[in-house]
Amino acid sequence: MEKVDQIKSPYDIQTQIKMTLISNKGGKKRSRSRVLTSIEKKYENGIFKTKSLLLFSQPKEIKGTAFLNWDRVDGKGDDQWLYLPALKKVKRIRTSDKSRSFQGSDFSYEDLSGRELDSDEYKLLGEDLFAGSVCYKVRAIPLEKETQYSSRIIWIDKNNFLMKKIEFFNKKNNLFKVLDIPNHVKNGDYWTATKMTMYNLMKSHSTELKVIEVNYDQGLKDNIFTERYLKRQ
Amino acid sequence: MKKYIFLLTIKFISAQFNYSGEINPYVMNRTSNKTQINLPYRIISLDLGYTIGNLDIKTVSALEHRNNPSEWEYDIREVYLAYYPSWGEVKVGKQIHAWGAADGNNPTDNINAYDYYYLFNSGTGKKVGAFSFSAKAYYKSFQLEGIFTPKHEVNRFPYGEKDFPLAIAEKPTIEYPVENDWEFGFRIQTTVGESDFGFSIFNGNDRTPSLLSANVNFQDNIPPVIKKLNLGYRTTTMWGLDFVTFFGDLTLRMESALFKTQTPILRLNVFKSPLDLYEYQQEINYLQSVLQIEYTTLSDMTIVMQLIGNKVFNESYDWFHTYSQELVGLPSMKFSPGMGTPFAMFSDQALLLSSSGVFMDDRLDLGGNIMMNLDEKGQMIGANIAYSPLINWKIEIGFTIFSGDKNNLENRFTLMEDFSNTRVGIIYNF
Repeated sequence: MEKVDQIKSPYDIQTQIKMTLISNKGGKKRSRSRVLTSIEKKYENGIFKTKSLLLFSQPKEIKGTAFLNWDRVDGKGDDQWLYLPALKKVKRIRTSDKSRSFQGSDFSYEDLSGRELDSDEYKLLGEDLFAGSVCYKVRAIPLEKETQYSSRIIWIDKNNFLMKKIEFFNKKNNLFKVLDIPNHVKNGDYWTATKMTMYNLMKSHSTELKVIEVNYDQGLKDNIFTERYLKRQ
Repeated sequence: MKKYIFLLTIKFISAQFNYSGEINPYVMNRTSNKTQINLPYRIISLDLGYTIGNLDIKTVSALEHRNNPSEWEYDIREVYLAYYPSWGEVKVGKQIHAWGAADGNNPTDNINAYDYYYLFNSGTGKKVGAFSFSAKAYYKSFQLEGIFTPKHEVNRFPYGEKDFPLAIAEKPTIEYPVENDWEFGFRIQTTVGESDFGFSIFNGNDRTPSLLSANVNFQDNIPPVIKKLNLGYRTTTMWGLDFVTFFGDLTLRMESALFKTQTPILRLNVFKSPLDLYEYQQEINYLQSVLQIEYTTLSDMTIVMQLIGNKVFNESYDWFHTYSQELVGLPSMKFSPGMGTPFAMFSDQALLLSSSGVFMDDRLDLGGNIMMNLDEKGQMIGANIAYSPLINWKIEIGFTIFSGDKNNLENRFTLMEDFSNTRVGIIYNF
């Protein structure tokens, strides 16, 4: 897991994403897509771990809606703001429950925030083949109680130590979500997961995130992650 | 010179043009007799923006349509230039501003007048753009904003609209235009711990007219007879406070505004004034507040409760004869706030409950709201369902029911009963 943690990640990243919500109830598949731009910057010093901005461009009804998040190092509640063009106002908001769905998708805020290496206890379960890659299969058990999961089983590519699949178990130890990350491409120094699909087994629903465009280390200024920028988009 | 032209060309090439809008034809019918409520509405809204570096040019316009007889009117609701220096933002032009912590019914939000045709719209849809200059500076956790408006804007009322129950039969004559159009506002906001605090001041003229003088016939042994009421606008100063804080998953937003309103000194030429003219000098303090508690459920349904209050105190008035300046004993006139949240015209104390959510992967929008008058009998219940069969398209149906007090015909909700309606429309966003 240390090798997974050592994979080089950018200081800042700007990604245009197509998020598709797929319902599979009654065997009938229906989907609806959104397009958003995610901008994130890592901080190595200070009180913030990351600052991120989400700008929605499709569907047109929510064009201009923007979400700003400052993730604190101390684990206290994130600082969050939402800009709604119809109100012309930046609203300070709070999502203290990280198990909540992120924007109606199958990803929770917790799924998207990432975990520290020392947040879990790990156990090697063996090896398995996934998407044509030989993978280590590792069980991660969270050390803290404030999580929606009792454990996760992670498939890690033996060649490049990239996560290929994660199974999420709820507090009753039932498998309820599966994240597939079948494809990665290397752009310069960094790996990018070009497609991720989170399956919610309880709801017969899934969310697919496809990367349309990605830019790394553009030297994004701090003033991008402010209320002012949120309004201007 | 060539270098300058080259740089200018590069600037324009790198400029960004963007647009968005909606087409929203709909019909509203009375629940009582199914007849159509024939008021103008915005059938097309269009937002255009042009960005060149740190400069934005923005316009928000709408095409207003009345179904019967068919009438069309193009309204440029906003057109302004915005400049974004490193320290903040500067905007000049016709703009809509948004102050305050609550989501609507903000007593501290008084820079723009209201459009009463759109009173039940949410957000900025119910405001009238004001020509203004505004500057906002961001410094650490502080935001400082100043606004100057050189032109007095008044509320747009549905005068003579038989389909709008609170409409005044005809547009009143304003006998005393505002002498000083200039209006100023300042707001400072800061973050303390996990809470945001804001303090604001606004000084301007009322958005609705009120009585400034009257022609009165005084005769011995009979009560005085008011022959004509003369209208103008009071000057009002507002001091506002607002804050946002969190308790677990509950968000608390509070906003309070203290208004001091007074009749302006008319400075009439006594020798040219009619002898039966009496001036009404009024000074009133009133307080408007809104307390909002909101909660988002696990299924992303947002539930909002608002408690709105309006309290008048320190009311003083005098009637005096313009020519002789002598005080006379005429009764006070009913006070109606000329600034603040428009919901004060419905009730002095009201409770609003609303919930909204998006389901079926953005296909289904559900919304509902209840407004209860806590002063006297009266309530408004509304619900809205929007279904999106195709991306950017929606079919919307909804209803609003008003119920008042059958024994009190002056009750605002009783007057609104005939406005109870169903609404069917299509929305296309582009």
